[in-house]
Amino acid sequence: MAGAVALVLAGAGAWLLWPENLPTQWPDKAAFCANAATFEVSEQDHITGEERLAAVRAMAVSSPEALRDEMRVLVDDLVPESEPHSHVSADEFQEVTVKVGEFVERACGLNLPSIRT
Amino acid sequence: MRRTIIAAATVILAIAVTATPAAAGHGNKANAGPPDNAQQDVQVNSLTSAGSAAASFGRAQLDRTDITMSTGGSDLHVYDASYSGSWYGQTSCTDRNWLNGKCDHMDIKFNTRLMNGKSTSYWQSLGCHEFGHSGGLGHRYKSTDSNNNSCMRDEIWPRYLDTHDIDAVNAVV
Repeated sequence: MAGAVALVLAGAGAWLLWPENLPTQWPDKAAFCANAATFEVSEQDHITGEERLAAVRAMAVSSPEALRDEMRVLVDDLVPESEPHSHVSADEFQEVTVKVGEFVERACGLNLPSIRT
Repeated sequence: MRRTIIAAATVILAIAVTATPAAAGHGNKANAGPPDNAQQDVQVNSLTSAGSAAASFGRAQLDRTDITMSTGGSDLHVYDASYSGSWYGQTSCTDRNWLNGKCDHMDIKFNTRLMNGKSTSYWQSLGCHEFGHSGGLGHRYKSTDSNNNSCMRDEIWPRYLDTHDIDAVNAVV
């Protein structure tokens, strides 16, 4: 009985925390999550800057439509200075990485550094 | 005891506490990531006189790079105590950005148990070494430091960041 109640409460909590405009399912979810796995805690010591950029670029093209602006901010953070890119404030960058990070953890079931879901 | 053993112990302990050791390579591959900005606050926490000397010296060495060191609690927290691990010093990232791998908060620890009886020169080398990690530097070996003048070396105890170390820090901040 207690287990069932906990399950219902967990489900309700997840539903309440899920951003209204973001889907739980979308056509390219598998590709998005496969590339997001590059950033898992256990992988952080092994990935190069180039691998980070390639993964986030792939995530950007497979992300839900509602997350495209945020993904652009993340890609721009990793592109070399020599390439055209935009800058956002440190606070905005932090806000975007937390928003996308939390979405990744919930949608893909991954564990990212410094993201709590 | 060799610093290679220290490095291995550091990794094991870091995994145990789910924090990541701040050891970044001098090349393109960042093992733990550099600091997330070029203004690093340092907070020391009831250090012994030797630990305090190590922290001051290490801080001054990192100040030779493009990183500006200041006093405060938002970036680097320094501790010393008698830790059970087989390491002289340890630098761990406690808040890393998942996207770019850069580190917002780090803990630096000096192990008074293994450093007991060592001269100020050794403590200064240790301070330089651990603060070097906080600047994103990894270990160096005889093959990449033939003139034996980097405190990021294993096995020996130079007290200063060399020009290669400084260039490597400046490249990532």
